[in-house]
Amino acid sequence: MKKIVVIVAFLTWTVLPAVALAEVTFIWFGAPAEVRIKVGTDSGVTTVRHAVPTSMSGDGTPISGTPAGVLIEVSARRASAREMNQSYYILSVDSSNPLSNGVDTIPFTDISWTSQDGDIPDGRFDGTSSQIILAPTRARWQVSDWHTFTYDNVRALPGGVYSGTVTYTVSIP
Amino acid sequence: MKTNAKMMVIGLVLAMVFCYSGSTLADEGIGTDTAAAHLNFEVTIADYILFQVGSSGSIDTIIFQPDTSDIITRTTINGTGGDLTGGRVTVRLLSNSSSVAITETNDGGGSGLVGSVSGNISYASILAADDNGGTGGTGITPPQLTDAGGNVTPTMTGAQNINTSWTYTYRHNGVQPTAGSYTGEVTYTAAIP
Repeated sequence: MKKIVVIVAFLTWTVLPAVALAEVTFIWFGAPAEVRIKVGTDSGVTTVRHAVPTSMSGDGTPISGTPAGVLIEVSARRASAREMNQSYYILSVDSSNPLSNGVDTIPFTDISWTSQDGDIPDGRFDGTSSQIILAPTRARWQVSDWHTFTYDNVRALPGGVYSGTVTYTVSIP
Repeated sequence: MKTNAKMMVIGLVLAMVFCYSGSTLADEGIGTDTAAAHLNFEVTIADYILFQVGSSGSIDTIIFQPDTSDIITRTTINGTGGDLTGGRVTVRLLSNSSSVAITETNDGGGSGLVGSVSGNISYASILAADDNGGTGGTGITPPQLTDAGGNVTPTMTGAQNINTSWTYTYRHNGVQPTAGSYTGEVTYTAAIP
């Protein structure tokens, strides 16, 4: 009977992280202590694109981003069991620099997201440098979620390509 | 049996460690107590112009009926008609182009409004004024109508979202017109210069 339990546990720990599900999973302690964050693809910086059709420009029709889902994974492995149980980490995002076409700008407050399952909850960029989007979480948990971004499309803006970058930071306060 | 149980526990621990280090876990930002990762955004917006003068979907008619005294004294008279009545029309400009200007043209072949019997009335006799302060305020200064057409408003720069109205008046331009009715059609075109 114990053999069956161990096999099931092994399969759970090997299969689930590999497919990057939106979930909260346990991580073991171990040296060196490290925090990790991944946003989007494994390499390079992912770009979420919103193309506003001419017929809908500024009319309030929400414009979904592409790719439809962006993976966000955060964890904070601690070196010892005591640290693992006592430490908390947070996830914050800096959206203080607006999107720009070189002349005109769009505040990041025009972009919101929905969470696949609420592990990193639904939200909207607030345009500040330190918006907390994941409340203090014990270091024993790795949190993964998929976010789908939407542009409000409520402004009459000059034509062009507006680009900008947000920075996600995982930290142990 | 006791040995087997220990092996199972060790195997489970190894499995956890292996999975943490070998899976597709967070790999962009790594640090001891803080790490960061980035996400780019792009919003692409195409140029567009929405322009409306008068009713949406139909052509309005402004009518001037000066009496004899008005003609003799060159009195400025108000029109009637228009979607807002009283010689007034709705003007709406919604544009996200970096610049836009409005041009007037007409169907008079350069001669002005065409008389039902004979003669013409110059478009210079018809004045239009913005009701909201003109360009630079919350309105648009209309281009002065001309017989030849082609008069252009000052270029408006940046995105525009203007809802205003224009009011038309008539005063003959010094040449008393022959009695009769005179008609013509003006077209306003908003375009990126």
